[in-house]
Amino acid sequence: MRYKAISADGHVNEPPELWTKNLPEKYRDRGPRIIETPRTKGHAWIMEGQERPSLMGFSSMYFKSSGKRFDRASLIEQFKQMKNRGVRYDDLFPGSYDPIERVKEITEDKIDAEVIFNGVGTVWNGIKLCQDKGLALACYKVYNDWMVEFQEAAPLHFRCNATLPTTGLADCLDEMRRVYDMGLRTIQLEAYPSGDFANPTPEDDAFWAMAVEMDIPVNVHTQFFFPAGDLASKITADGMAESRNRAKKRGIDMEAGTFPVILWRMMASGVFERFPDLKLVGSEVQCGWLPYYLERFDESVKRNRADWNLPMLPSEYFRRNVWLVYIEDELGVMDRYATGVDRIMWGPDFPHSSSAWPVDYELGREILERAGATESEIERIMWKNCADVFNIPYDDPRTISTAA
Amino acid sequence: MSDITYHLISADSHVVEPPDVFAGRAPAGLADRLPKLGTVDGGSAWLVEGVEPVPLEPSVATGSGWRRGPSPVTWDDVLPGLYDPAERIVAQDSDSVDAEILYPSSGLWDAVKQSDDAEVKLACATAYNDWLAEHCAYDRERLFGIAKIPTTSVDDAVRELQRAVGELGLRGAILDAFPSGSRVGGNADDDPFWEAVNDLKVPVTFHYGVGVDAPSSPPPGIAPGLKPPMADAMLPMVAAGVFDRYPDVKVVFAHADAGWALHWMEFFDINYVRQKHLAQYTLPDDDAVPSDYLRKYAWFTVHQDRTAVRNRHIHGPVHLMWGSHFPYEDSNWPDDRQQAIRLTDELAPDDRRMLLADNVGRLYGLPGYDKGFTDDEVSTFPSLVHF
Repeated sequence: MRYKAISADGHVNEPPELWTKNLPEKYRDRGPRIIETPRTKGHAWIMEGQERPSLMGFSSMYFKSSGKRFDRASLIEQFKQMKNRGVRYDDLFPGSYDPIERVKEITEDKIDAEVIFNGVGTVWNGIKLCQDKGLALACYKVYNDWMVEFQEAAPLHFRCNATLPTTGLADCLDEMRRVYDMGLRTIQLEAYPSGDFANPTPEDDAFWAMAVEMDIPVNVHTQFFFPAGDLASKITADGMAESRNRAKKRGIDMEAGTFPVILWRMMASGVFERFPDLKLVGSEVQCGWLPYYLERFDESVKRNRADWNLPMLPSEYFRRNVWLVYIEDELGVMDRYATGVDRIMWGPDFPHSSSAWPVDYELGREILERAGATESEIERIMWKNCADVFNIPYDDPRTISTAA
Repeated sequence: MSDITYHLISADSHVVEPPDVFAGRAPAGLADRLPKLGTVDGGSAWLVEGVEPVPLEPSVATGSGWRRGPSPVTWDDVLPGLYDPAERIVAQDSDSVDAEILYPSSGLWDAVKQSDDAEVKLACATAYNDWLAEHCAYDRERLFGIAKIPTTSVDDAVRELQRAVGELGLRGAILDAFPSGSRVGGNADDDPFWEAVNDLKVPVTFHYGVGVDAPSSPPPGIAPGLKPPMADAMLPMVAAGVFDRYPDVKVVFAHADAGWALHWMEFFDINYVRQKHLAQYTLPDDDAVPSDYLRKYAWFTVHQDRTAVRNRHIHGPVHLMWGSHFPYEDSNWPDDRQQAIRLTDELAPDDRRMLLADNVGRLYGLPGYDKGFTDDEVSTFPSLVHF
């Protein structure tokens, strides 16, 4: 048996008492905790320094669709019933926080293993913006300790990302060393290693060097800042403008923290030139946008050669150092040759509402097949690229697949 | 009946306004408040009261950023073809281009729209349109002007649109900002403007950015291909039912290519389908998705965009129009034909003709292109979401 499917993008929802039970005594009352929202009776995370709680939104959870095929109608029906009340932990898949339950859930989804990311917007906006660096650092450590436990509970099925602190370079380096010693082999950044949310700086080089030495892929999950509140409600122009304004008031440049801009600035500042073995993964960034991105990038370099001090074109750095993870992205899959079959990884984003549990695998295959992908391309995009980038061992004969 | 056969039409070229474009075409009392071309740090720059000076783009001296010219650039350096219509025809011949859709320059109008002086803003728009109409009258088969729409009020916008199209013979309109002053499209206050557009049946352009603070052209220099600032202008219009009420409205996304829009449309469709329970907006047809509108009612100018050409069936092949961007940094003047042929080198001759001439000809009803598009042609594109 071989691997058939490795999701390059799965999420947890952090246990409600993770910080109230595990933070050092002096931080316990100030750290993240769950509250109930007065009107909608939903759950939300809040910690010291937050003006408003971060709601557990629809993006955090997903309903079991009825039947074997992805049933859009019944999904919409179930969402409608939920519409006027808040999302609670009781609504979530238990595998959000229990690794043994998680193995059962992904097995039912026909997925053999997952790369695990944090719960994004919910608790993390508070931690990242926390003004007390000691408190913030303690929060990151508690989370990473839990990631170690989660992975150890089922090491064949999970590659858990440590979330590295945004409190400064020294903390970032120390924590990467600490989690590496405890067995984690992949990390996600919520800011540049120096703690800057907008620009890479020369001091980051110490971090890139360490990541290369440890052969750790550096993941950026979509963007450094998520709009507060339910992700789904932010897709209107008004919603997006409102998020940008709120971020601006706190001195945050949201645009600078989006993956296309992060990639631009890292390339242009020569990070990949100085660290040719660095692995950068854009998690849940999709891939349909990339061909036009690189086409204009390369052309503008050729036209302004004197202003580009690097020996390689952007597309050449991309093909050597960068991978992209997508959820559905039919157009990106159809245009996969312009991005590179070996640059693309599938990641259904379970249990967020973008996923299609329990038919993620089938839907993933269907999209690739409809785009004319061969079996070799399907295998590489649905498990092998991920296994190679994240150093998930497989041997010949490949023996690991617990899914039916 | 026209004798001209078009092989190559630029759907996105620009003029450079001469120093006297406003003076003499505005009410006498405004003379000292009008924008003037002055000298700043050794180069020519437009001076708009209350706004930072706007230097002339360096590429107006060479027609292309591929060739370095004087820096800073003064009025004497500007290629005469950018402001003199007889020279414009010579410039087109040098470029092997048969005709151009002519847009205003960018920096000047980004400054004008920031001014607090409503009388000046309105006078500038009407003066520009008068100048442009004279300019294009020199050759009615090769010069086609896009009218400036004032940003001062909905009434001003409607009136000037009707005058520019009905009396001056201009072929389309460019929106620097929504006439109501709204940040987003689809505001009900803008309806009278869309109604007028619907009656006149001329395409309305968003040129890279729309909004008082939005730039109307990309910054020069090294940059990846990103979603332009105007990307989110149209979805709120779809959500507000503008295209359902005014089905003859056509939007042109100019100067930002179309490759970025592929993923953007699929993303909106996926979100719309998945988040229907949130009912942020509904579409009249229960099976409709946003990209049905985003594709049927939108045209895109493409320049350096093999991605869009390769994926043209996604937008619908009639919706893409090549533009030279002359005289912006990424233009290739006087070898724009070379650039256009390279861009389309994998296309069969008929498909190439569509992208390089026929689509823009039919959109603007240029000489010899009387029939416009059938409903089938503008609506032919595949589904993006399959579950």
